[in-house]
Amino acid sequence: MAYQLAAWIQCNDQQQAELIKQLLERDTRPCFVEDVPAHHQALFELLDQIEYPAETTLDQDRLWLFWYMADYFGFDELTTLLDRLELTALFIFEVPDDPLVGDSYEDEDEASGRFWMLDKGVYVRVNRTTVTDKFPDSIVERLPE
Amino acid sequence: MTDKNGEYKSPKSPYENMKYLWKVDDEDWVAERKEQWRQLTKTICKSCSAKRLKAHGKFFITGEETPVTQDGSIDTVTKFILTPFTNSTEANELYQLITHPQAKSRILSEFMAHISRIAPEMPWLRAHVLNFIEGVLGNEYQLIKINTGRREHIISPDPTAVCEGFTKAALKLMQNEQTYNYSVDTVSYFISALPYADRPKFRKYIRLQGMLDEADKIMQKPGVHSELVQDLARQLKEREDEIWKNWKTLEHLDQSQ
Repeated sequence: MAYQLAAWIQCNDQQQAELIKQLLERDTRPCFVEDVPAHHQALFELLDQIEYPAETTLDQDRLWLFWYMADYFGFDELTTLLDRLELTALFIFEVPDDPLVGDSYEDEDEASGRFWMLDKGVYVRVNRTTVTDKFPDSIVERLPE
Repeated sequence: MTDKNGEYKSPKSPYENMKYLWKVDDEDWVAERKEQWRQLTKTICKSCSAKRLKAHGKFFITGEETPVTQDGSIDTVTKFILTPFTNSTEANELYQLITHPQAKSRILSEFMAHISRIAPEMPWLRAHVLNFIEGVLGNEYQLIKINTGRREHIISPDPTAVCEGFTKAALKLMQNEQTYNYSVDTVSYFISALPYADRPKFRKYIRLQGMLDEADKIMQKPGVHSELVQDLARQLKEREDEIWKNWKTLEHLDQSQ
């Protein structure tokens, strides 16, 4: 479960990014598998298990996704999904639980979120500065403080 | 209570006894229900999680309830609205199967406003309202109490809220903000609730004058508005004296405000 979860996802091309966006968002997600063209049904069935993102932004072949208070969905579930989609995230950000409901964190960094980046096929923890230095302001400014 | 897989299962869901209303073996019925669901998703459960919305859809089409532990809980009033009863007897049968006083009270109080909000485009909207009135609510306001053995519960809607809600709904309909709502079919119920509208702080929100002025305007321009709007305006104007008379029953409450 994530209080906040964000990912900057590299898709294979813009068409795929647009399709994923469409299949994820509440207003455009089809109601039934039969509403989806046959060649996209497998993808739909994977994405249909996923919570609606609070924010989705397309930038060519990259997709910014942000979930707020996503029950049953967090870093582990997101990376499992990305593996199944054969996609990678350029980085992932997560505040793992609602800090207002009483969970305590060992340090302030933990409370303000965790970052991961892909390194040799594995998502490894990095600090905020690593991410903010590497990615464009247009993406970094979307991250919660 | 848990089932054989250890999942939570409601021990007394009234909907299990009403499964016959869902014609799941009839392909045409299911196809139509699916098409209605595609429309409903635009208006229902707007802030729901994906899992909850899916649970609503499953219930609407099949009558199957998702265990609460899987975030599939559906609001009592919504569930009642999504049940495909087709006459007043079936509506009453379902209502009688619901035994929890709070659930019964919420259905009586919230069904009308809620159905207009979540299912404004459904072809069964008005039929559902009429079946609910005939089978559950009645045409006259009455104080309804039920005894659970431990204590007595008043489950009838709050009359002040009934009147406030009615005037708002009537204005919405007459000002063409909605193409249909319950007001046109509950004029008698509203008028009979007026003498019991006893909450001084909220009486000022019962917009009788504004509603009757709007009805006047509509009556002066016959043919401009829909049949429904004209019907509502006509009913209100025909019973204007009765409306004011019932309102004045508790008018002394307004002087202390």
